[in-house]
Amino acid sequence: MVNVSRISRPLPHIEENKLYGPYFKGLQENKLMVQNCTECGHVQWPPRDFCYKCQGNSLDWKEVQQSGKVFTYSIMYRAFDPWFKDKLPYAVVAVELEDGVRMLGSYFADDVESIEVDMPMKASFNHENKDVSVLTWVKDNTK
Amino acid sequence: MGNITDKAVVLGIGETEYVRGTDKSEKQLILEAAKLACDDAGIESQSVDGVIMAVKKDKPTNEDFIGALGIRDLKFHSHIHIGGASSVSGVMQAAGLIAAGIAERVIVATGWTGYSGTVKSDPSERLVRMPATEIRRDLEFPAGLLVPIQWYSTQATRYFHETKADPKGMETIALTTREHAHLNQNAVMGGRPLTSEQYRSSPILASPFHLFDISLQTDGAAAVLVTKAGITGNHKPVYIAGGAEGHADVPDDITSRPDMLHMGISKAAPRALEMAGVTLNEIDFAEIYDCFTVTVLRQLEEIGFCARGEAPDFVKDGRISLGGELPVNTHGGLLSQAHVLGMNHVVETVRQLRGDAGKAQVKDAHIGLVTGYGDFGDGSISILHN
Ligand SMILES: [Zn+2]
Repeated sequence: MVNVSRISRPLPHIEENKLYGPYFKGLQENKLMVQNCTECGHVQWPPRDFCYKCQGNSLDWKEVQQSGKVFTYSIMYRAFDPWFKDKLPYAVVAVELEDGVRMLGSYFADDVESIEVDMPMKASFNHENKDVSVLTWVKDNTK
Repeated sequence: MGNITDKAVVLGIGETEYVRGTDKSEKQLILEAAKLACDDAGIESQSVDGVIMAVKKDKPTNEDFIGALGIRDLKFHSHIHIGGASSVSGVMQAAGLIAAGIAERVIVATGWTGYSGTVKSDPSERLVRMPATEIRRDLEFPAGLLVPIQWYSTQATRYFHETKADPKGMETIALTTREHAHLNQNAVMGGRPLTSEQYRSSPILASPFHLFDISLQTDGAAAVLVTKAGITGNHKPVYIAGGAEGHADVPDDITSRPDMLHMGISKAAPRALEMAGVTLNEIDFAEIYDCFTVTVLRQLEEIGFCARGEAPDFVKDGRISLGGELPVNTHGGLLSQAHVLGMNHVVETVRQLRGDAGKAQVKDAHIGLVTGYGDFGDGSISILHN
């Protein structure tokens, strides 16, 4: 028998991924941070070592808005990691923010099957422990 | 015509039995398929001088092939790691090597124990040979996006939204492919009917995918022997007219791709057709990589058989069935024959062009098109003729 309390959420490996550091730190502070090329101004997501547009390696970070629209999604009826099993059905949602940034997050709510493309969403921050937070999406009812 | 056109041929094909459950290792299955391809060609396996491994891992190694086939003078080897695009890409690498005079008898082999192996059960195996570890492990996994079914379900949602394509196209692919599997002795789902009602009542695993939109998990391996044109063997040669590889913009992240419908084959298909000197209406049949039903629809569109969003209309009314205008996946594909990383598609293309496809034979088959599709949208395509 699997002891339910021992099933942990898949979390980012922040120690092994210095490249994403400011993004992880931003989540801790309830912020969404993305890369910004200081040479050509390209806003880059996900983070990369070089600017995809101009190949410069002088990348800074900037905060983006926390609300946007569903670009795409899928509703999951089967869990491929044990932690998600009692969350079924849940959705994975890619929300488009400013500058064309699309960020992935889960959506956990009873009305999951009502999700549609273009639906307004806003960020929610799950602070899993003192070092790691995870982005999820909730409906933005102010829009 | 390209520099490599008709310089290389597929002379031998080899397939193990495709099953769900085996005691054999991936290495053993792959080496067996390679030996079968040499035997089929009537070429001494010792004389093979190139090995291209289109496998998911780094094994078998070139040394394993040298040992098993008794290769006396290996002049080239490589591993290709673009998932299901690797098989067709490997065939094109072989053709290029031969045209360049680097090798003359090249084995291209793949296989896996997708059913009996550990990949599906052990989460630590998830990142094996996945591009962009950080995107997977640190963005997608925490969001609950863990396996290819889920990546591609998000792409399918966007496809149906953007193009207003009819989702019924997915069912057409599932049912047509199953019909073809019934004609194949070495198809895992052969003899097991699939009705429209069964398709629709099957569980949704990740919307919009029903169970039968998803390829099989099977054990098996397949290989081809590509040789310099002019080398003779047991069979009439099947010529490699042209082909290409292509990578999506961006190649490692589906949901952040500016045009989420863009795929590697969008770039590769026109290159391949130009190299082969062939137009799409000359293609007699197509073996299209079918990890998911929607992936067949999408590739038909990106290759140019029809416009974006039109594939569900294109495939209906029997057009892609045997006897139709463009039979597709005449062997049963990954959906209903077996998941052999697309090498079974290459083998079937050769069978058709030899006239050896039995009950599934396409009448007057002269030019066949075969594709591979891997990871986050890597594409490969080859055009063969007899
Ligand atoms: Zn830049």
